[in-house]
Amino acid sequence: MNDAAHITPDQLRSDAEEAAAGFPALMAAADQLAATISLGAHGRRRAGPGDEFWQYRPATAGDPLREIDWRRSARADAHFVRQMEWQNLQAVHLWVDRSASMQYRGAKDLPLKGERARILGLASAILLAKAGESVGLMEDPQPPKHGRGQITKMAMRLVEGAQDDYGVPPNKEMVRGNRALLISDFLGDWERVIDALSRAADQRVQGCLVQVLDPTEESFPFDGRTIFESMGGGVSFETRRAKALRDDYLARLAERKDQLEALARRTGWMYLCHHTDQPAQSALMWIHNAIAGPAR
Amino acid sequence: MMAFGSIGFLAPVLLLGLLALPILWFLLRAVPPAPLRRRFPAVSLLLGLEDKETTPDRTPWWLLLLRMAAIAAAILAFAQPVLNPTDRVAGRAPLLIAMDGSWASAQTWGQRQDKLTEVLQFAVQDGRPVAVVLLSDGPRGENPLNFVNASDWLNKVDGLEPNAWEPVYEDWVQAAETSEAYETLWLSDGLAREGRDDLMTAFVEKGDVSVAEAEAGVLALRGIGIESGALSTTAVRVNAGGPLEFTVQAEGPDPAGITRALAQGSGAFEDGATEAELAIELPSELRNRVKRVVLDTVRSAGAVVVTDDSIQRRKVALIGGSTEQEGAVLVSPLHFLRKALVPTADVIEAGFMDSLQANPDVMILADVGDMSGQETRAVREWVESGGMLVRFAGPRLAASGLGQSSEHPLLPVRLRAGGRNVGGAMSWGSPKGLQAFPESSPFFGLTVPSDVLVESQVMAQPDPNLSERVLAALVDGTPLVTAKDQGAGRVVLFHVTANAEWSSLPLSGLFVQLLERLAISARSATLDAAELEGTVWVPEQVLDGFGVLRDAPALAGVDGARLAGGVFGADMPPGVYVSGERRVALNAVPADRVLEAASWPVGTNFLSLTAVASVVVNGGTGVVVCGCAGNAAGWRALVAARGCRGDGACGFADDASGCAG
Repeated sequence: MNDAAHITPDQLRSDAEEAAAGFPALMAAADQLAATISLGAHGRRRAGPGDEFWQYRPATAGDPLREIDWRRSARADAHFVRQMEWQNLQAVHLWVDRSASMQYRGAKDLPLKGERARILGLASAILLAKAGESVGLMEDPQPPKHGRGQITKMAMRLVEGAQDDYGVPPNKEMVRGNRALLISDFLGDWERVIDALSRAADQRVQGCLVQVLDPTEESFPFDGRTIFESMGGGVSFETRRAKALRDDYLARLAERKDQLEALARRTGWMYLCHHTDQPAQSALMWIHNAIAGPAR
Repeated sequence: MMAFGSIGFLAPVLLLGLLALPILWFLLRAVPPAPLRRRFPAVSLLLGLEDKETTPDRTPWWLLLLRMAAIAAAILAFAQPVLNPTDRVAGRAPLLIAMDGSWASAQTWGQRQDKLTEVLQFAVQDGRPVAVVLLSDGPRGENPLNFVNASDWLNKVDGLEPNAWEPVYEDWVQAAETSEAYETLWLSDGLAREGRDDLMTAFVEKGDVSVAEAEAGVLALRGIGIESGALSTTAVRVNAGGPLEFTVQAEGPDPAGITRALAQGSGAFEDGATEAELAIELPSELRNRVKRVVLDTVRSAGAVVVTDDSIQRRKVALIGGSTEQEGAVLVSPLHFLRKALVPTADVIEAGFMDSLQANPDVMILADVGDMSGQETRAVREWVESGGMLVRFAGPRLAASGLGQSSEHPLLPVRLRAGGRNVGGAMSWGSPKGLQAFPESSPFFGLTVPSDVLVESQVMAQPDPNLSERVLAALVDGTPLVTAKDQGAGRVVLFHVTANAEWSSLPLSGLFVQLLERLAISARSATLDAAELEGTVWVPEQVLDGFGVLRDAPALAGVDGARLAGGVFGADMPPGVYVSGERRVALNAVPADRVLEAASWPVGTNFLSLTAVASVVVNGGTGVVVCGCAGNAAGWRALVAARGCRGDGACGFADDASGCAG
C-alpha cells in the first residue's frame, strides 16, 4: 500500500515496470480486503441455472432424461428432477476515478484517495468475481467477464493513472440490468457527473456511487493566505484568508453531497460517502451489499 | 566630515547604510508571507467564493514609506548629523590656536571669537591643553607656546583684540619648532604674506594643521591723496569677485570740534577687479578738516585711512612789502614764495586785514617793515591764537629799525641795526654757506646744498635766548632762520630776502624743503628714508585693529628710518606720528601694498569659520548606541552632555528616536 502511495499517473503511464511493481501490491491489498468478507454466492431463491442445490421437483413431461436425479428418484416411485438455485450472472461495471484529484491525502498517515478507491474497487471486483459475477472496467470496451483472469487484468488497468484534474465516468454501452460501481470524489464538473450518471440511468443500469473524500476535504483546516491548486495545477484559487472561507466551503460540499444523494435516489442508485480515515472494510461491506444484494 | 548644505555628518560612512534601504524595502514589503501554495482537490468547490475579510496582501505603500523613513532617519542619526557643521578639531594632543590677529582679521573678529570659544569648549571637554597666540603679537617670553588648561583661555576670549599690524611669520618659526608635538588650528586672515609656507611647515612637523579662513573677502582702503582738488583713495579687496559697491566716509571735526562724517562717497569694484578708485569732491575748508577716511561697514584698521599733512592744504597769506612793479616779476619778493607754495597750498594775496578775515594758517610777510598799530595788534592776536607768521628780511625791514631796541612781538629776535654784507665788492670775505642743521632744528636731516650762499642778511642781537631760537645758521654761526613761540602760534624769521637779492636760497630746492618742514606747504606723499634719517617721531594717535584712532599710550618715539621702513609692529603701530611741526599718518595698508589671497599647500585641511556649532553629538569618546529602542530623553541627555548649544539638533534626536515605533 505504501508503494502504491508513490504511484503518480505520469509515472504509471510511462513506466511499465513501475506499474508492474504496483500491481501485486494492489492485488494483495484488494485480496486481503476481500478476504475479510466471506459471503457465499447469493442465490436468487428460485430454481435456475446455478451451482447450488435448490430443490427436487417431480419430473414432468418434457424434462430431459439427463436431468432426472436418479438417486432421489430411486428413493421414491416418482422421478425427481434436481433443480439448482438460479444464480443470475450479473455484470458489474466498475469505474475507479484515477484522475489527479484522487492523488491526494491530507495527512501522511492516510492513504491517497485514489489508493483507497482502487482497493475498494478491486476488492469489490474480487468479491463479485468470487460470487461468479462478471466484472469489468467502464474504460474497457469489452463487456464484463468473470474469473480470476479478469480481476488480474482489471488490477493492471487500475494501477495506471489518469492525467485529468478531475475524473468523469466514461461513456460505455451497458446492457440493461447491468450494475455499475462508480468510485470517485465527484469533485469535478458537476454537469459532467450528472450527464454520466443520467446516461447510465437511461440504460437502465443501476449501481452505487461511492464518494471517497479525504478528511481535510471535510474539515477544511486551512488558514492564511493560500493559493489552492488542483492536483494537476489546472485550477487555482487564491484566498487571503482561508479560514474565512471554511463555512462557505463546507456548505458547498454538503450541497454537492446532497446533490449526489438526490441524484442517486432519483435514478435508483445508492450513494455512500467514504472518508479515507475510515476503515475500508465498512465501505466494502456496503458496496457488497449494495451491488450483490437482491436486485430491486 | 561630509556636509550637505547646512548639515554635516561626522560619521558619513554610516550613510552607506542608506544603500541597504532597497533591501529593507524588499524585506518590509514581504511582511505578509508569500501565499502558501497548497494542492487541494476540492478547489473546485472554492471557485467563486469571495474573501469576506480583506487582510491586505501587501504592506500599504504609506506604511512602507513610514518604516523606510524611520530607518532612514535612524541611519542619518547614527551618521551623527550636525546642523551648521563646525569643524571640530578632534584629538588629544595639545592644541595650538594660532590667530593671525591682524587688521585683516578684525573684519570678522566676531566670527573668530565664536570659533575660538567653540574650539576651546571642545578642548575643555576633551581635556586638551591649549595655547592661543596672536601671531601679530610676535613670540613673547621664553615659552611663546604656553599650553595651559583650555578653560583658562575661555575667559580671555572676549579680551582678545586684533592688532592693527600684520604678523611677521619668520619670528614664529623658531617658537613653533621648539615646543613638543601639538596640533594646530590656524585662524588665518587669508592674506598672502611672506614666510607663511615656512611657518606652515613648522606647524605640520608638529602635528595636524587645520586652517580656518573667513569666507568674506578682506576689504581695505589704501592710501589717500589729493587729485585735482578731490580727496582720492583706493579701495582694494583680496578676492576679485563680482561687482561690489561700497561707500566711504570722510570724518573730521566739525566747527564745534565734534568728529562727524564730513562727506560721503561711493565707489564700486568692477567685475573681477581688485582695486577701485574713489574720489570725494569737497571744499578745501572741509577737506582740511578730514582726519580719516573710513570704509563703511567694515571695522578694521585696514579700512581706515588717517590723513596727515599730505592732504592738508594750508591757507597761506602772502604779503609783500611794496606794491609790485610791472616788469619786475623776478625781483618781486613774493615770486619765489608763490612758486613754492601755489602747488601745495592755497595762497591768499590781499592786504593785512583782508587776509586775516580769511583766517589763514600761515601768513608770510616778505620784507615788510613797520606796520600800523591796528595791523600789528590784529596780526599779533592772530598769531597768539595759533597762527604762524613767517617773515623774510629785506631792505625795508632793515630800514624800519623794527625790533632793534626791544624784542618785537612779531619778530623772534632782536635785530642789530644795519645788517651785514659779505662777499660783495665793498667787503672782505666771501658769501657764506649754511651750517648743517642742528638736531633740535625742524630742519634736521636736510642736506645742505653747497651752492646756497648768503651775501646779505639782517643780524640778530646776541641775546641770551638767541641760541635756542636759531633753527638754521650760516657756517660762521650767524643765525639764518630764527623762530619763537608766541602764544599758541609761532613767529619765524628768515634773515634773508624771499627773492634772490640777498642769497641764492630761494633758488635752491632747500627753500621748498624748509617751507615744508615748517609745515607751510604740504609734504610729498611718500616717506623718504633718507629724508627721515635721524628724526624721531612720536606717536600721537594710533589705530587699533578695529580702525579706531586712540590717543597714543606712552609709546616710545620711532626713529625716522624705521618709520620709512613701513613694517608695523607692537613698537610701531599704524597711526599718526608727530615730529615737530610735521604730522605723518601711517596707515595699516601702505600705499604700495598689494593684497593677495593666501595660498595654502595642497591638501590643507580647511575648517569653516562662519558656521557656529549647534551641537556635535559625538566627541569620539563613545559610540552613541541608542538603537531603535532608545528614547528621546536619552538622546537629549547625551546631546546636552556633549555641549548642545541649540535646540535644532535636539529636535533631530527626537526624530531619530521615532524609529522605536
